[in-house]
Amino acid sequence: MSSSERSVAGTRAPRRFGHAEVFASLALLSFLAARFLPLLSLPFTCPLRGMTGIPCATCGMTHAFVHLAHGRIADAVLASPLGALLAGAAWLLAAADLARLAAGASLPAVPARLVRAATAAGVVALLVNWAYLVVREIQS
Amino acid sequence: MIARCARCQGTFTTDHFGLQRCPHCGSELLLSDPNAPPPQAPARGAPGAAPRPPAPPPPAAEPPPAGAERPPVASGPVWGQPPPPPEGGGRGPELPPPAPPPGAGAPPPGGYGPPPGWGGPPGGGWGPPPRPPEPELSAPFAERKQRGLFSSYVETWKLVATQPAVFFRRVRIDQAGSAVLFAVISYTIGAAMQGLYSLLSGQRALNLILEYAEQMPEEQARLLRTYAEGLTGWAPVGQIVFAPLLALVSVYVGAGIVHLLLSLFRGANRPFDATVTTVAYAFGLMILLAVPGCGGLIAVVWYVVALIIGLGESQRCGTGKSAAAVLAPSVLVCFCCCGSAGLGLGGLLRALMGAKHGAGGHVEL
Repeated sequence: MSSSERSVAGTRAPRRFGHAEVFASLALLSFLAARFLPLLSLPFTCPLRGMTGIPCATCGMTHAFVHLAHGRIADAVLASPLGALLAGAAWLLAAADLARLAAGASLPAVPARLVRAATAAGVVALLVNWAYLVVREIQS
Repeated sequence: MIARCARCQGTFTTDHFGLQRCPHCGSELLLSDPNAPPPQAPARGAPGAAPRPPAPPPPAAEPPPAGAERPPVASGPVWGQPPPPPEGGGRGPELPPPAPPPGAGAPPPGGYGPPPGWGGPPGGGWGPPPRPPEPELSAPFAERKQRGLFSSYVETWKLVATQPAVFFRRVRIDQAGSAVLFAVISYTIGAAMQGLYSLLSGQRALNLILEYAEQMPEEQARLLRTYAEGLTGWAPVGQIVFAPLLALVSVYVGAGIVHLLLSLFRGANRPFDATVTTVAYAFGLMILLAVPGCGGLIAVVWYVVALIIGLGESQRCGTGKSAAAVLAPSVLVCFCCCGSAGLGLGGLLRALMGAKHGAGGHVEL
């Protein structure tokens, strides 16, 4: 009996691998890459920083992910505060989603107002983080 | 065989024709035998004429629950030509599509195009009458098992590229898996071809760029050398191998950012499935990376245009909010990349000028 036939018999199985699980998998993948791959050895330079000496808004995030994956929290925050926050949040999300799947619970509903507030806070945090990186670059 | 209830749109299996009871909603429905001869109206009061139970009127269809992929039982209008029925008739007969809503003119035609005739506008009132909701359709690529992989891919690509407004307004959003697969296939093909070009022409391009880099300031020359070395060696191979993963990451991260920004602009009128479906189908335009030379530029510009139009339709928020949500991160990226590219272009021009002066009025390439 194929899956489509099974689903029509009135026993439609809940979707086990939805968007939340894809995001959790990507977060888990980012942890594995930051922990085990030599990302900081790649010969990559930020184009804006290479040309002008000014870091871009996402500069230092790779360093933050790698440092945090190795447990060096202070180094991660120094490299990019927003990157350290993002890495921690992403990996916590992956762990929480795994726990939710294990418990068989459904995804909690997030109010639209909360999503808007979080997005606005994220935009502000990105700009503040960029200002911090630029000031630090100028001072050094 | 599989049948679909006209009331709740739920499907169920049955082994006989005639009167059925839907296991989902409990309503009775009549499943007619397509091979049976056309019914002849018996004479009134003729002996032996069994009273036939009246078929319940098919009520209006209800939308399926978000996030659930319905089995591909085709009913109602389809994009272009409907898929051919599977050989052997394994699926069995299906119920007729639900009746059009009261007041509707002709039933909705198959395929995209102008909306069906819904009768004349009501008299009085301010402005034009509100547009009636159009039925959602599966994308041709979501019906690839019936239509064939290649033909369904080509048909979907043509719809996304040439009629994004019509396509994204009517495409079903509960089949995001097919949309993501469409994006992964497209980007993988495009990136593989691009990587192949880099492998074939990398050494010559590297020599040319290194020649220019000698005329540039040291800082910019070092950066240019770093990028030029990426044209050869293992970088194109990595680009080809990791293309499917990169496509998946790009679609989901891009859809997440755009959906958050749409929420911020109060334009996320439908769930995340609509955004990820739109981003993924529009990402299919990245197959244009396979075009040598300007393919990358064409792909990115076309993708952004299709995404803005498509998000405005799929999220029912208009192109203004969708453009703001799509272009806000693009402006940031453009500020970083295009600004530095502009600076690099300036250095390149200076290098060209230097080469011109050094070569006695002729640019040596």
